[in-house]
Amino acid sequence: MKCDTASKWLEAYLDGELDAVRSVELEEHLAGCASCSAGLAELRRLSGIVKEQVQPSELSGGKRVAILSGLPRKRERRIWLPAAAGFAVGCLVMLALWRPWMADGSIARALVADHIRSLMAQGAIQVVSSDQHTVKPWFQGKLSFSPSVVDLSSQGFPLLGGRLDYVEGRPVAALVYRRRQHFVNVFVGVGLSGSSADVDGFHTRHWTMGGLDYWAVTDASPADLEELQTDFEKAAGE
Amino acid sequence: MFKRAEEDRFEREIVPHLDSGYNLAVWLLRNSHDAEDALQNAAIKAHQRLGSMRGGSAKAWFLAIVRNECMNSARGKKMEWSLSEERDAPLACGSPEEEVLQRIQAENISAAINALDAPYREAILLREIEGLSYAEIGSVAQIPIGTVMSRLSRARKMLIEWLKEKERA
Repeated sequence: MKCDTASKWLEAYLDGELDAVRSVELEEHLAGCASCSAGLAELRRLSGIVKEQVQPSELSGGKRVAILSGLPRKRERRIWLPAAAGFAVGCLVMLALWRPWMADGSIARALVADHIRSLMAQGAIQVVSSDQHTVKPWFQGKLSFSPSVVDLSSQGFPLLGGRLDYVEGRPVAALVYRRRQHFVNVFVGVGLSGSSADVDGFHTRHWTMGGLDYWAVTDASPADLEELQTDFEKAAGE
Repeated sequence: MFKRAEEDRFEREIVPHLDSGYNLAVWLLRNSHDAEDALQNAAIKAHQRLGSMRGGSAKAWFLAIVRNECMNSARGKKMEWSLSEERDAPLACGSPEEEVLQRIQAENISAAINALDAPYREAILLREIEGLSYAEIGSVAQIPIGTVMSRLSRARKMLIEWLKEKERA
């Protein structure tokens, strides 16, 4: 093989695009040619520098939510949207009327209804920020208690923001996290005790901390919620 | 109850590539605000046309849409570049020494890539950062594989020259 042929193949070789037969021929040539070997080393060095030093731009969590929530609904989606909205509103109305007679699990049901509503509505996030120090002060003056707000992005639950919501007639803080492509609402309120339950394919998880009730709701897995609770308590305790 | 095949497919095949799409848009438009708008439009188009995606790489399919939106955005703003510009001198003729390469003035490698003309910037980005194959780059940029190779090669030569010059200085 001549050097001019080899030099034409170097990049394809580097990029893993050269077929096996030619790769072997090129390797044989490289073994005996300092100039072509130096050329390959230079290409490798450039590739290493680019991969190491060029930081890909990342989409912010808020913008990601905005893009996903800005997608037009498809027709089949329109069929269940009013149905789901009716279902959610119906749940809330029933809860408001029947609260004294509701069995345990009613809170889980109300929170799931709220979670579903938040997925459908604009304004699921009223304060868009991945910074706990922005989200927490936002709740001040809006609630009579102070919820723990922690950033769990390094644990795989990036914080997207928060909103003020009402569950069973009580004001609650809703913190919105993302788990892979799923959303997790963490509701924080007073007097929301109840037991974790699965409702319509959504999972809930309840815990208390500092006298407040915390409820995580998602369609990701129950294991994700367990992990979230552990991470949340650990981060809040730090 | 809420499972919808189309929406699930979008989540599974397109959503994981939103960051790559954003990255490509930022590199092409050199501006995060325009890049966000282009990505938003691309996501809407991809969402509409998902049914027409047949096999192949979902990433390349989505990036092609993003690139197209970037071109629309640049055209709207009368930006001074075109991605389809035919300035690809075939590398096979003429030795590299005779080639007149673009001279880059830049502080670091990101700035050096940013200083390349759009077709070269795009080729380097798609290959080195996004890890696309030649065929995938060709389908994103709508150019034959030979052109992918010559653009990559020129881009690399310019960047290696820049590296050397910077080290000499």
